[in-house]
Amino acid sequence: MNVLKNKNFVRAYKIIAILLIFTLALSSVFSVLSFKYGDGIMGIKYLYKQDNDSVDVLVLGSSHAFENVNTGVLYDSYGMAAYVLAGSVQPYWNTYYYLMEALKTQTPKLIVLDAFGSTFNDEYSDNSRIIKNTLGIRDIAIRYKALKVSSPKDKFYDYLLSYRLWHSRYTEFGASDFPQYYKRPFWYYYKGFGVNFTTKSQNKPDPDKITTETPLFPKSEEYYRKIIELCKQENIPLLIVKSPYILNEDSMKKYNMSKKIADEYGVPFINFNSSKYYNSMKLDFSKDFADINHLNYMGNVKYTKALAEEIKKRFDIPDRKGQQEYESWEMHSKDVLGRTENQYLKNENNVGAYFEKLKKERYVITIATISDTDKILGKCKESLEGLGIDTAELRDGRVYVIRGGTVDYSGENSFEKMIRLDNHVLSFEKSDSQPELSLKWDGKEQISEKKGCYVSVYDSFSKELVENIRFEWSGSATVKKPAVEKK
Amino acid sequence: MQFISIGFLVFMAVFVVIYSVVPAKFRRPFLVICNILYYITWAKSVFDLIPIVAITLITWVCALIIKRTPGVRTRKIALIFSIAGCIGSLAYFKYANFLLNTFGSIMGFILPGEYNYKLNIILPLGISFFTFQSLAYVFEVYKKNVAAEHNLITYAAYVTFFPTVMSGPIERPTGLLRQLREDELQRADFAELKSGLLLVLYGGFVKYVVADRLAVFTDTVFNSYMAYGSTELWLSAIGYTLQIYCDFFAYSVMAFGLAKMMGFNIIENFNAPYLAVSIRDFWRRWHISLSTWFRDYVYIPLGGNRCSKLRKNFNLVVTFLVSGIWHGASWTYIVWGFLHGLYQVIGDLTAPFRKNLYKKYSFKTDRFGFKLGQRLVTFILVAVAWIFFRSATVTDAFLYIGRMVTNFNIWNLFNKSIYNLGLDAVQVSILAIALCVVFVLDCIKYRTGRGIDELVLKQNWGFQGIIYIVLFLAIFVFGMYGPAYNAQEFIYFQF
Repeated sequence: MNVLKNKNFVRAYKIIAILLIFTLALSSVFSVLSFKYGDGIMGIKYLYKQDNDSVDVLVLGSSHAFENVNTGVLYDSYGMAAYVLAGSVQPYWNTYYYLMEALKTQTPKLIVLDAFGSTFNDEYSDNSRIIKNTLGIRDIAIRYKALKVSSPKDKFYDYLLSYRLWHSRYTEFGASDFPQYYKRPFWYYYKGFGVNFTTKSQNKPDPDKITTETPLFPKSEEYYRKIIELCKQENIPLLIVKSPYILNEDSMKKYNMSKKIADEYGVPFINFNSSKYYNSMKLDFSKDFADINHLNYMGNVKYTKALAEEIKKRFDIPDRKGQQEYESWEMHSKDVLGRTENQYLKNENNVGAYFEKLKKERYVITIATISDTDKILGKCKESLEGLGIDTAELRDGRVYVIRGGTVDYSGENSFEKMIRLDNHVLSFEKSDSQPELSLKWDGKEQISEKKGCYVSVYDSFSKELVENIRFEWSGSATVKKPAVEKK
Repeated sequence: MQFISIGFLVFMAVFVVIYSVVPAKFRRPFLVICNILYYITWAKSVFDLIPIVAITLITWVCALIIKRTPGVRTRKIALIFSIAGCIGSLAYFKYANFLLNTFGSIMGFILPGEYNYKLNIILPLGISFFTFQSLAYVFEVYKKNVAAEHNLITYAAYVTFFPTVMSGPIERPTGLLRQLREDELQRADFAELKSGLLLVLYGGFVKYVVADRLAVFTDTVFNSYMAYGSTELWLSAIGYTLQIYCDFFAYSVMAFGLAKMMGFNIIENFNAPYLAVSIRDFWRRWHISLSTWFRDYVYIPLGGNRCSKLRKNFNLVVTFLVSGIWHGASWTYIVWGFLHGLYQVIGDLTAPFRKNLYKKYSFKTDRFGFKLGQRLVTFILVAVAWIFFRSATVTDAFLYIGRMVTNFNIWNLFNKSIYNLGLDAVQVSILAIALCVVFVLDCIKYRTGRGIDELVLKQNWGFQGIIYIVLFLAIFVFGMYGPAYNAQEFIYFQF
């Protein structure tokens, strides 16, 4: 007891208490303010969350890897447990250190490297790419080495002491800076892949005619070889690929050179930029691209399947489907495929087909009607009944909430009802003096019109709003009108 | 090595630990070694140490001669020699190019042609401070107020004391040197360590959150003042007035805190100067170590106020002109010093008239409203003088002031255009909150004489801890540093 009353002991206990609070406060600041780029830093941060030695196929590279190699499809269709460890415009020297870091916890059965890095001609990336491709590395020694080769000398210490770069990020705070944001399945089961839902028509390139080579940028070649040598040293098979994109002549020559170097090491190199693969994949350049560099949700499935077939031909990758330890891949796949389905639902303009596509257990569907209900929904009576709605009582002024395939709520003129969907609130507002029915999502008005049938679709698995739309009777047909968020 | 940097943090931590554990007799040499190491971190080469070493040796030897020689003549020669050494080196390093430039301008005025004379001189860091600190010692030895220091290590520790060497406060032998002379140098106790750390953190907050944030705004306006109207120019003048205070106050309070962490008490350089009710009062509160230096070694030797009114005012103007010159080799500083001298002369000459006026109209001069008015007038006068201090040339300063009173655009205060002057709404909000903290603490200091350390350290330990954490995090998050923003050096480093 005397020890406890000792002045120095009490002082030490106070200092320790304050230091603990200080550490807690500082770590909270670090957690909130530090960089969280989805196209770089989060890829490696989530690799650390995977069970040790659980990744069978490790995909490396740039955005050409994380937007094109669909890990959901690889698991769902081929049972491959793949993880894309990539970063935006990632040069080979960053890929090399990412690989080195990954091999500390994972022993993949195959490494797939996207060769976009072969086209880089600069000694250093731009500031944001240096951040994205280095600051997620947890091992201080590896991060130090990665920064040494990535950063211009005069900025090295700014990157090394990264707080100097991010301490003032309070001006750009967003939901993604707080832990709650990462509880969504997209992040919870993240495997490094992100679907791009944009569609932009592209001109089909003609890479077959380019058969010559051009040397790689020396630093790129040095680290390209280092990656190959590291895989050899670790006895991990390597497959080098180039995913389809709208490439130019110089890039094609560099891929030819990359193939030549790969051949030196006996490493397979597949360039999917050829008529042969374009045709076998049935790649549609008017629909399958998000932009000049990336495949979209339709294109990545085609490419991923072609890639998986090539992998199957050459390597023996275990089928993990149904294995308890691979549940997170199962859920990831469900999330990716579900969100792709959501996109197809959004694309659907046929009313009947639309209601057919709504028949998914994961959807929470809210239907509110103000006018022309019988005409609008007349064409899809069976579909509505399929959703569980009693069409006999369907009339203007009703609200239905359908959860898990059954009607959870139905009421007449009950526009005051607020529907809670996880952390979101869907609400309607209509007063007698106002003819418009207002649909609000999290308090923000999405639709406010005098007539039609409002449909709000929420994906309860991905915890995302799919869309708020309105059908109206126009002329002699039902027309789907997208909601426009009003500020 | 800035006081708020990882390098300095390590340096200080190592220093405090070693200083605490080494036997007392080794603390003085250890302190000198650390002083030199700190100075070297700012120096470009070892040769940059020559001026500070030379000044230390010259003044140390001269003081010993003054002490040991009974002859008045020799004592005076030694005194003159040390003054010549200090002022001469200051004149050479700081003013040679200014004088050559002025000479060239005069030549150009008399004879046709261009006369550009320039010497390649690098100004030794902290020269204005360590020369004045050394001179103060020689003067006091000469006046027999202080005994000459026999031990060179002790004296070198005084001249090169690392918390103050770069930017003051200008210590006196009766203060720091007396403490360094104690038989056994005391290390800081726990209370002093806590107090010192709190002051360093508060200084860091004032510098990195307030002063450097204000600098973004004032630099934007001052660097292209012709593009702005009266609203921006007034705001910027006020902004610079606050910036220079926060910048220099921050350095001084950090130096005070560091010295405290080492077990020393040094001069407090500021005492809520912008709450002064007159220019004279302002100078009792602003850069106290320098203003008392000039009072003791320039103003009083000139005759002080124990002479005719005319002579007294002449002495005042001369003292402030010298103060202006001390601040920098430029006409802008000379005009700034002259203005402050002029303010005081006018204040002195109009005092009877003002007194009669207050009496005639029954003004109660002890009321809040009256004091507030005095403070506002003083603040504006000081702010106008700072325009000369900040401007590149005297002409720029006059043009700036001209636009302040002619290009009216008061509506810009309300149309959010001020958010386009380098600081957006978020940054302005942070600045406003931080300035409020400084203002409130200055008001408390003015009223009670208590600084932040005295206020906080009498609270419960939990609350104290939270204040430390909040100050640290405020600097860490809201401080203006990093590649997105090049942190400003302390303004007074250039002097």
